[in-house]
Amino acid sequence: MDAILLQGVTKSFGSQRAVDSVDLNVPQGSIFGLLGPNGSGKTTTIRMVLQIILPDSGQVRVLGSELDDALRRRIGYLPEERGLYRSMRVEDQLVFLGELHGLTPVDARRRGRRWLERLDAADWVGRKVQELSKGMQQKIQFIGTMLHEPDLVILDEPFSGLDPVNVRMMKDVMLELRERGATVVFSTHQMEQVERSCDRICLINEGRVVLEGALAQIRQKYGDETVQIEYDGKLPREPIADLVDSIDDHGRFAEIRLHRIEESGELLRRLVGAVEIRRFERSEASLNDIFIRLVGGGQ
Amino acid sequence: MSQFGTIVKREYLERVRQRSFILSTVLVPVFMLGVTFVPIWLMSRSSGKPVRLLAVDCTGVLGPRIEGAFSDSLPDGTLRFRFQWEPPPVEGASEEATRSALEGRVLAEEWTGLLWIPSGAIQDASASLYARGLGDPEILARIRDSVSRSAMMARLEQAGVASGDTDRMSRPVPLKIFKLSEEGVREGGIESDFMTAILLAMILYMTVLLYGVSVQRSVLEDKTSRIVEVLLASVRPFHLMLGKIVGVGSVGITQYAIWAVVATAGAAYIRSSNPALAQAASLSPLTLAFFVVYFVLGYFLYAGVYAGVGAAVTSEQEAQQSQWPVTMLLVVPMIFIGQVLRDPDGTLTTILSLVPFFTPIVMLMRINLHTPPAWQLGLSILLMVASIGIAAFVAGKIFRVGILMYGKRATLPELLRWIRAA
Repeated sequence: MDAILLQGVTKSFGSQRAVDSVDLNVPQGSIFGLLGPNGSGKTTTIRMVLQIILPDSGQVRVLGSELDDALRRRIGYLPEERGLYRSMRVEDQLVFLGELHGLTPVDARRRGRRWLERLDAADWVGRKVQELSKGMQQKIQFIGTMLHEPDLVILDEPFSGLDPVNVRMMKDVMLELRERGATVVFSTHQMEQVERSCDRICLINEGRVVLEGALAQIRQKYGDETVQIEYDGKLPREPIADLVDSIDDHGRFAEIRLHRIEESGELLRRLVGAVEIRRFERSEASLNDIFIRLVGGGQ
Repeated sequence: MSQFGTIVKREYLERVRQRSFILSTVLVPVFMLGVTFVPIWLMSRSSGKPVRLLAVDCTGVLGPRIEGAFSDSLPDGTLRFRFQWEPPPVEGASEEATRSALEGRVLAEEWTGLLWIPSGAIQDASASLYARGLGDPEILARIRDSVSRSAMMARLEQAGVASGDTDRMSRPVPLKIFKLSEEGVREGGIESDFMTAILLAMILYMTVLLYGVSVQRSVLEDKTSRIVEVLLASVRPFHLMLGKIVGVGSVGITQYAIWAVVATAGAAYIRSSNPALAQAASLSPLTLAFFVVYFVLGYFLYAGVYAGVGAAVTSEQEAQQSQWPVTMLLVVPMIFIGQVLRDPDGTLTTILSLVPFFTPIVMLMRINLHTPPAWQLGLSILLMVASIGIAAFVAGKIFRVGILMYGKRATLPELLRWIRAA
């Protein structure tokens, strides 16, 4: 069964088409990455799954049926725009969010405490949200999303604004959820995260699905090999220009797409002496490369 | 518990726990009592300043009688009313000239005024008072009474009544006023009903405004804190709006209940100490019942509209700019209070009392003054229920779309488009 199934979902705001006949299926128990540049329609799509916005046309099914009040309780949602009641105490806030998802106040309080302890935040129980730092508030909101052990967790840009410690915590919890059989959907434009943890992805651009499927298959299909090098110095462009299709140069690392991958030896020969090469590798294209090729460079 | 119930519960508990709730629960009655009783108290307190009158008595008889009627003294023991009798114009001199000379003295020498008793005063001419300003209507009434009564006593003496009997014979007959209604007879009811009508209108106005704006704030807080998106993932927008309205409204009911308990205790105390006053000031159960009905209806109507405003704006400043048309609707009946008091059954009052936005205040005042026909009460409630339905529908639409709009305040055409959109 699919945790989320979208068929021909379309939504316009005024004359602008934000989401254009999107088909999407998220298998249950997977970690699913929703990718796309800013303004591509990721958040609108997520909002339609949760019926925060109603689609103009198309069908949305969640956990096997139309979304209703009972189903809503099995979903945990972390919106891109984080927010809590500023003047509420942390514990009251968590109890409120828990009750909203069908927990009893006693149960919500108990689970809240357990989570706070686990995330080293037990001291904050009695504090008001407005007294907490931004990172702390993120943690509280994240707990609020997980408190009722949802079967489907939807996280909109969960990694934005998190420090490395919290990124790791977030990732650990996501894996834990999958082990429990829950489905995790998250949107991002940080490819490394997707590459490391997603089973399946969907790439959206300008409201349309550009790419969808299991990560491994996508790699196989689009991932012609590229050359990845780590270097010191300044990468010369002129001497290698006739071999190169495109370069994604980061200063000390570059991913180079050649016209013909067989010419990688020639590339290495021309670079030796010009820069100090620390690593030179032929490998599958990174998701980043695929992303930029499909979205950024045009086709 | 349902999601709706959870929203109601949070709104209620968060508000009741706030310091501002406790403050307003205490301060509103204090303020109401102040507004009602301080002016009365100030009026009843005799002013410490003497009333100094230049006076001319052309009859030669009335002067001592008039002055004799004023024997009360100031706190320092001196007489409150002080008369200085000036000689009447001599034979052949112009009355006009004498009077205008004295008028000049009133202004120049800081007299309170000039009392002029013409020679024909005992027969049929009118006496005159030229004053710089008396302020207290009671002073005016006493001067008027004493002049009139002195002339009456002089007439009786001229007709041959023994001077010892004139006082008794000219004694005025006091008029007691009773309010007659289906519920019985109440002494002093008419005047006190004026007061209670104004008081009820004030309470209704203040609380509907207070709680209506609270709903708007609450909606706006969800928006500015961005928590609304989390809520909307679990609660339907309409339920969220309704939950807020019911939650805040329950706070209002709680506050009323507290006030009612205090008022009942206060009334019991007054009844034991001053039964007549208690009878005059008591509210009929019918009025109280309608007060609750019209508060609830009025609150739901205005709260719905205020919720729509809260959803359409994006900041507190914008909210203040956008809420005034709604608040104006609430102020209109306050402007017409005088009209309603004067003519509780008039055409204008009747029409006003049937306009849903004005019904709570106007109809409640009418009920307190002179119970309107049952069909008008029924119609007003029906119209209000219908308007609440429409307001909830429209506000719900604005809420649904507006609550996720963060950028800027919605324009009127945008609002219309939201309402039309499914």
